[in-house]
Amino acid sequence: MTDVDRASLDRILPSTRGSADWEDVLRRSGARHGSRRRRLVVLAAAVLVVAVGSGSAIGSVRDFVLRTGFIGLPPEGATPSNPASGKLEIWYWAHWFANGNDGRTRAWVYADGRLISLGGPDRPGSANPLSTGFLEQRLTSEGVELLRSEIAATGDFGSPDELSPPGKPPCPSGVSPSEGDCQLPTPEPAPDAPITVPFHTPIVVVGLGTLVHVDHARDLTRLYARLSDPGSWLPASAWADQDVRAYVASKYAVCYSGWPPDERVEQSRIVSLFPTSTRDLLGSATERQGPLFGSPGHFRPSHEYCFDATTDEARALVAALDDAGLERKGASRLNYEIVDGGPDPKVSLYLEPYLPHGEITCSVCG
Amino acid sequence: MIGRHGASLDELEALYRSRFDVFARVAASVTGNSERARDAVQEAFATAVGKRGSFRGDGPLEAWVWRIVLNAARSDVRRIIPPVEYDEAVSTNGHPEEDAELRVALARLPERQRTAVFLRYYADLDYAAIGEALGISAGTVAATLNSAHSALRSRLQEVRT
Repeated sequence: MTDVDRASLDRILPSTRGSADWEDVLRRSGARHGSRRRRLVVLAAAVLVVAVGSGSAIGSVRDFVLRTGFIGLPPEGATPSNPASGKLEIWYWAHWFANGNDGRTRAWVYADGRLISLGGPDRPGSANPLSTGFLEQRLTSEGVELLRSEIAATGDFGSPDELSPPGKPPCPSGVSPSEGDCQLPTPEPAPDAPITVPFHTPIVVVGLGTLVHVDHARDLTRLYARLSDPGSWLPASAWADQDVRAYVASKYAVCYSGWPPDERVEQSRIVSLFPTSTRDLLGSATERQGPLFGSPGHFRPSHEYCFDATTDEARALVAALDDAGLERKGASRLNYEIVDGGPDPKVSLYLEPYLPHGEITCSVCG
Repeated sequence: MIGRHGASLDELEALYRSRFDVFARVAASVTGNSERARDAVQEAFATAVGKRGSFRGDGPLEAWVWRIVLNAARSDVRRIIPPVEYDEAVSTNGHPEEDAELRVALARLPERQRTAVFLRYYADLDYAAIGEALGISAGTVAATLNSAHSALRSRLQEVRT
């Protein structure tokens, strides 16, 4: 077998992006361990809390607004987004390109003007280098209408089923679709060519439907750029409050599953792995189908158990899990994993904030 | 073999600094994306630092870390949205067609076989260490590599005739 040697594999494997950074490893590790560290984080977050006057007649009542995003639960005392519920008008994913990187921003726009977003290029107020956390700004009714008009003017609307489907996994470099169970990466369309919106960046206007076809690819690129950074083009009159604040939810979804999540594990088996003090609460969860799991062409539904928790209930649960020594994982979502003597995750539990329209999203997806 | 308890931070740092590139490039064969592969390696080593006390020394430290790295890379694939980018490998040997054929053949292998090939012939791990990294026995490693060789040979002959 002379074809497989180190030199040939060296040429085939992608080159490394970025250099080794041991300090980053230690930072990531340190962020997960020790209640003292957590107390310091909470304290630091509290320092970042900016007290702003409510402007109400009751001068002594003050809101505590976080100007920096966070992952998981807000610091004690942070004021939840008001009102707790809202009518969703627009939601979208937008594919951005900046400084040689690319990524996706998600946003939800409400009739009351709230613009809640997650992700984006080098945004001020980001929770950490990997995630912005959920951030909130306020549009005027004119701003909501301008956003709606901008999207509506870009193309045709229809059903989400009409979006470019995920299909098969992308072919590795040099592999043709006929040779492998794969499809070629979507080529960059000519700017003046019509385009179907990719499935992974749906753009929805309530009442109109999902943006599915655009006459010119450049129009979709332009729309992505605008949706990724509305502050770059909306006039001042479109903003009631353009300053970014962290979105603070009023309640959370707590979900857990076995690993891999597409394999259904009995609820009682999972719950028994958690600390005794949390089992009654976790046992109240109901089963649901979670986010798709896998890779393109091989997506499978995941099985998970979820329940709703108030901020106080979520805080008590997290304290119990931390006190039991469970390890927090990930920089984009408050997530715990229980392993059974080895490195394989056996059970994972995560918290997601409810958005004002009463749904959660998958923070780590995309 | 007499087991040991725990790995030192210095050992992990030395392994990280000397083998970062190898870890990141093999992880990229799982994630399909160099940036996410780097993140998986960073996360994996952070996990290894946190769990270093549970390293029993039944096998080499590197094999133990490989298992964590591969888990982290596979965990990344869990995300619902596929990576948009697929890195282009650059052929510099003057035989781009041969590299392309091998790339095609490797891409068609099942993930375990492909990873075993990279661990054996790129990361230079022995069968026992590959077994530890993949969570399988050394005997299964031998069978896995044998299957990979057969599939690669068959595929390359098919292409060249």
